[in-house]
Amino acid sequence: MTATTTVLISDRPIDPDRLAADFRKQTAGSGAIAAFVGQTRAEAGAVKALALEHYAGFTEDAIAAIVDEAVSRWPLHAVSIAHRIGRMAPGDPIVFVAAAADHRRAAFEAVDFLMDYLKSEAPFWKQEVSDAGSRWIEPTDRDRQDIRRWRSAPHSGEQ
Amino acid sequence: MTTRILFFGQLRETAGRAETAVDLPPSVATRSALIDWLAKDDPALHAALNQDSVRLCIDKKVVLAEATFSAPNEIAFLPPFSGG
Repeated sequence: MTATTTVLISDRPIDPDRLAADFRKQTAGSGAIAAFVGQTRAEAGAVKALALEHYAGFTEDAIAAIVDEAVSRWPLHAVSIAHRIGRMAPGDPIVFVAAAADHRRAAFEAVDFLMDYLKSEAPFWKQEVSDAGSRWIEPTDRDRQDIRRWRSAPHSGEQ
Repeated sequence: MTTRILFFGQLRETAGRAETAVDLPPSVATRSALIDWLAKDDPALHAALNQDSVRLCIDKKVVLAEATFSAPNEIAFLPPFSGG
């Protein structure tokens, strides 16, 4: 089965509602769609902005490889990823990930898998700007645990 | 032949620039030789590039620390990733 895949890296604001509507239009034959939206956290007002950078050409290829991996693990009809780069304010959407399949489990798990990979294995660099200055964010122990789940359970959706 | 050297994230800040263009001598063919050569007058940059968590990317492919290269078009230093 060939899955339709879309990857967008944008230095302009992304619109998750429009992305979700477009995704639904192209997956009318799918029984299940799971979609995730990540937004910039304000961290109780401490964070003023988030700045993301990527490596043009390399980041796109790395995400395409992650999408291929998801498509090989689950019977997906379509995957859509949109990721912001540049400077964002609290509340701004950073990432949109959607997957469509015949049944919900594959769609849920594929989105979970894709988000875990985007958090710590996709070539983005994220800087948090607060009143106290700015700091570069690195993957947390929790992020590393999250991604290890997929290494130890390659086909959990079929168990 | 000119090679573009790219620095991302906190390495860009440490280097004070996003990229530089250099003519690599033929003797600079490994990660450690490259870091010694690039940061010979900048101990802070040397230490930053030398971290185990920093990945080296030659012509848009991540390579192992012991890999050798010759006349690449582009070399990038990649600190730990953080997306989403």
